Amino acid sequence: MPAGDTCNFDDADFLGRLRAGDAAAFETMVRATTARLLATARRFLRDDGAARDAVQESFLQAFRALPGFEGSAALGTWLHSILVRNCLMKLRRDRAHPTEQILDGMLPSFARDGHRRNVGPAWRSAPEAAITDEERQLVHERIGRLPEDFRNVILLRDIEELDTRQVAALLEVSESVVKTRLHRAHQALRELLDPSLRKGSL
Amino acid sequence: MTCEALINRFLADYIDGSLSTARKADFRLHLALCRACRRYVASYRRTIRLAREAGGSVPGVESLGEAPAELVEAILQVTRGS
Repeated sequence: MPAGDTCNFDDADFLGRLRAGDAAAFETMVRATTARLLATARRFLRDDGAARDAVQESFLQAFRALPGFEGSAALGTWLHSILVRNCLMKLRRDRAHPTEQILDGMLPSFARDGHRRNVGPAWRSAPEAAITDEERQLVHERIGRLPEDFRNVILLRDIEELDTRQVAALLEVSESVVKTRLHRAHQALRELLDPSLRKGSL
Repeated sequence: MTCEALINRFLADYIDGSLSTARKADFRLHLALCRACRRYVASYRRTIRLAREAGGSVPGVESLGEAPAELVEAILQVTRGS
């Protein structure tokens, strides 16, 4: 799970108050986590209204489930997983006729003999420093262009940092499907980033 | 090993470290000889790194902004009511 949900939620006293239904503790948790949860919901649902609904619904579920929350996961992680499940369920509901999605024009091309075609310039060199805000924005924008199946697998594996087994369970597919889809998604994302990251591009 | 096999079939496993020793040797030999694939692999690795870094929040760098007040209110209303 991304770092940052680490406001000291996991001390026993705070959890005890939450489990007991303490409104002030619940409010503290809501105020501290809503922005991050909303950002996650927007990435999956790509619609602000739907994202807000998902966050609200997730807190309602969390509120009901809190008395039984055992603290085996960190509270922030637990909230996050409720939200992600809700987002995926909403996407599934909205897709009346699931068809196999394709990455048209987003995959590398090869000559008939298997050699790489259209080799463009190398990417400009990457500084060792952390990702810049500009790059972060670029990456999220490009991830947003991927077809939903491929976008979801990148969001779950790279952004939410779930492992292959967890993603397979959430998406109800096999682990090998997750791996193949992730590889395709990375290839497509590479293709989409290429014009912006080539040497000589801005 | 062709460029296509390297890029489509073996690259993800190579990066995972799950290629067999023999396959890994083939993979590296191809890379040593093929500039196109070296470029591809470098940009593929960088893509994964960027995607992972785009998720992790760096304190003080990511600007999530404030949670919308009306959303927070709505959430608190619902739970007060139940």
